[in-house]
Amino acid sequence: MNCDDCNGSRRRFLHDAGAAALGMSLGGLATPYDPLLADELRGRNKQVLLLWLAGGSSQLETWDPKPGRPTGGPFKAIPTVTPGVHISELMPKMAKIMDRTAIVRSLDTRIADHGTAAELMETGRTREPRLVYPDLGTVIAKELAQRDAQVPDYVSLYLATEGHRRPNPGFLGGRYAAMHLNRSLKPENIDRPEGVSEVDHADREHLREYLSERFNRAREATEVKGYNSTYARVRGLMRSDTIFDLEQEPAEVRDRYGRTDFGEHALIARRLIEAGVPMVKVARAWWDSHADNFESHRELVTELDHVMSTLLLDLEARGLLSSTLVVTLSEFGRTPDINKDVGRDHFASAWSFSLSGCGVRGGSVHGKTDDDGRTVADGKAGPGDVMATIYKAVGVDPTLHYEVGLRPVPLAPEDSAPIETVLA
Amino acid sequence: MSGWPLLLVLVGGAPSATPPPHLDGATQVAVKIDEFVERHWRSIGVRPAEPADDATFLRRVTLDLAGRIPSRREAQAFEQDTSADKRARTVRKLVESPEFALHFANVFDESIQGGRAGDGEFLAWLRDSLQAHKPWDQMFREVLLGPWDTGDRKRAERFLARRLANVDELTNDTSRAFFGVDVTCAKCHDHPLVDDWKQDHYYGLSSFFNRTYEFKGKDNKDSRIGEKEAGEIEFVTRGGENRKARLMFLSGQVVEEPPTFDDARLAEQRERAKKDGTYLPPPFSRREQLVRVALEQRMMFSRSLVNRLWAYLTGRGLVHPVDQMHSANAPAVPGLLEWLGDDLADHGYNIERLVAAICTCRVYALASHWPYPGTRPAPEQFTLAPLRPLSPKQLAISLVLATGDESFDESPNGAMEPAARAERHRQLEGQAGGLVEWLDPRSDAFQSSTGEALFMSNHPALQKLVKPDGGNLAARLAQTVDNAQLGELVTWTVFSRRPVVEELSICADWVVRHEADRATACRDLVWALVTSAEFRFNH
Repeated sequence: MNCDDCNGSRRRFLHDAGAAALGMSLGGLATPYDPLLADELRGRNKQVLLLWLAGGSSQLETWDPKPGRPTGGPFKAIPTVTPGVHISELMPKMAKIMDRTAIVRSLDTRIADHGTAAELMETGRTREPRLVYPDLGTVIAKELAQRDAQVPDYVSLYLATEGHRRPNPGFLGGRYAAMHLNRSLKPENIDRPEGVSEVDHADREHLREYLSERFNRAREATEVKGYNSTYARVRGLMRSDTIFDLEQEPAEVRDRYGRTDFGEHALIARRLIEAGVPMVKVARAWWDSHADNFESHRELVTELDHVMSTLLLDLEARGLLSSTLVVTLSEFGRTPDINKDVGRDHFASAWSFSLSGCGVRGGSVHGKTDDDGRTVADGKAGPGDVMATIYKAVGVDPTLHYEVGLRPVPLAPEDSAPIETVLA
Repeated sequence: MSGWPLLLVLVGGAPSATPPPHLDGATQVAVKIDEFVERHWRSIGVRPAEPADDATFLRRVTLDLAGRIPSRREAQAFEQDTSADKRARTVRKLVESPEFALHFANVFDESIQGGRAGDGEFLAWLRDSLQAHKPWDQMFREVLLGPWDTGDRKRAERFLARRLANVDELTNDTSRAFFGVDVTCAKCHDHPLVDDWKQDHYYGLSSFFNRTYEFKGKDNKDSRIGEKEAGEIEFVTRGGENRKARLMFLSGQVVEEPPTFDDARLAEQRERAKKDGTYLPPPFSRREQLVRVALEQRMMFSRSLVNRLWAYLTGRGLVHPVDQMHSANAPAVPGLLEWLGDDLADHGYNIERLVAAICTCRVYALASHWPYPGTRPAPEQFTLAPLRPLSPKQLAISLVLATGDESFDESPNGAMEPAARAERHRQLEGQAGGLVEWLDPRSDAFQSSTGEALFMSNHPALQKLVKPDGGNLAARLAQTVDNAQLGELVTWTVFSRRPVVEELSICADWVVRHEADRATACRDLVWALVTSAEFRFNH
């Protein structure tokens, strides 16, 4: 080993560390190197925001009303700004801006059990015993994350206890796994520990990095480079705590979103999108209206209408909607037949979801159900098609393959295709 | 020359205790492994890395066999030991230690249970089985057939019990865990890449499990795994043909089921069992046939274990991935897997002997840095030790051990009794428990997460370990006046090796620069070492 070189490196280290101790160049660490990302330029600046309606929202009280039919329930349909497109009267605010949003009314996804269906709709596949698929959020994070990002790649907000699910990175592993907020709106381990000063915290990281690089000098192992690049993101992530802080937001904006859980989570989501987080998921529970479907949907849909329209307009005003895809999705819809408890049960044979913003042909509608909403009459689409559509809308090729062991696994299942009607 | 344990063992024959009988022949097996590997290296024209130094070897083998880093005293004693066969003796000692059973239970749990690892009862059964030196075929038999007649033995039932609801899971997981074959793809169509696996194989293997069910007994009070007398699997081929599955092992061997037993005595037994609500085993057990056929065929069963242990100890299977053992995926070193599989079967499926042999061979003891110019070798050549991330448990226990008060290997009477050592190991595991969930699991393509980095950087539990307190490492460092001694102490304790001169200067400079608050300087020094890559990986 060349000793001049060692001494040189050590001097450089001491110099840098000294600078850090004086409060200079904090966080100005060497450019993190991530070999997994270095190979190609990524589709830049595209982002996805998933509004997950946990428990199963009713297509009949949202995107596919059937007024006057035995299955239609008490609510009317109203015209929207897009000629010929009608949605439930519970969504007057969305009706005014339907030209930003596309509806798919012909999902047939077969599985009507909460857990299995939720996994199906977030991965596009039924589970295999030996291959755990990553959820779409992890895939988006992997495909759209910037290698040197100072913000998280994937944030999931899910504070409700009912139907609580943690995003599953599957075979993609920990690198792009969601920062999952389920206990509080603040990410875990993001505050400096008690008794460690700002300077010491930065300084000891310099030493850690220096020792690790020294260890890797004769090895040049990609594992160590990846390990160091992960630590290099820590201090940026710690600074990102302000993104989660709603106090930073003007009172007027907070009032506009509404001081409800869903409103506040949506506002945090907008702050995250604004800060460059490629994937954000906000879950709103609990839509599982086996009884009193219309009362619960009057409340839930009205809130969805308000929050979603506020969010879309806010993103648009900030110039973010053209690069942000907003997806509103559930694990399944609800039965056209109204049960004895005035409820609707689980239903996966003919239901709807919506897409807004980036890559979407606003005002378009794909597919239709029969007069009573019992079956898909035209344009049947499955879970894989939903994935393929989302990926294509943000410029990710759904036919890309991941290598899992010796097995090539395409991002969207082989028999799926993007729903072109709703894409710009 | 310290990196050539094997030759030294052979030539030196130092005054060591006779190896315990169940490790007989491990050294000869290691010689054989080296022959195969070296012949392969010559044939493809590659040369291996240098041998790893003593300290690296000790850390590697202690992590692999005891699930933790060596204590400072163990590391220093190993350096001072000048006997020629110290590596081989250490391997033997570790395999013999009760810590081996404690740690290898986790290793086997992951390999057998896969996604369902962590079942407390199954883990306890694995620990007892390893402690009792049970051979691998016996463990296989106990998992699939029992007897599950006592509380202790019933714990082996957990593998099947957790999968009873789903015959596909029983089929796939048994196939992966014991035969090294993932047959999932062959369920819906003949395997697209591999000629070996047809739908007939998939449903053939399934048929060994399709009669297995949970017997509940009278008032659900006699829950156990039972097997029915009848039941067939039918499937539809890709061509649309309805086919009845035959009882067929992966090798293609078909078991013919004897005609139904319908004598009067049996009818009476059935009647009585039905009336009393007791369990009556079937006259012909399909699962028993699977165990019989697999052990008679023996090739897949034995090679699968060899490959998994090889992968665990060297970072990569001779066949890679470990559940893709088939004719289109040849082993990396010609002849070796075949020879080791036969040797394992010929020597009573002795797990410890195989582990000791692999840990004594030349591949295992290679350095992890590449000293030659040019590109680094491909991993399947086994010419360079890869960096292997510690498992969450290994890392958590090692963190507690490195930062702690050194009571781990303190004994009032000198040498520590095995039982006491096991107890200390369990204590470490207990202290480490809260850390495990935050740490990144080991995987084929390891990627560290920001979750782990944030935890290590900011969580109070980690901070508590590195802060001076009582007699812990940071406190002892803070009391060490001499800066060179301080560098020695921290490097030996955390990295299990002697520091080089440059490192002593780094440590000294660090504390000098932070002289105003020596306790804080020592705290942050410990933090930087335990979060460095050298500590995170087995290298």
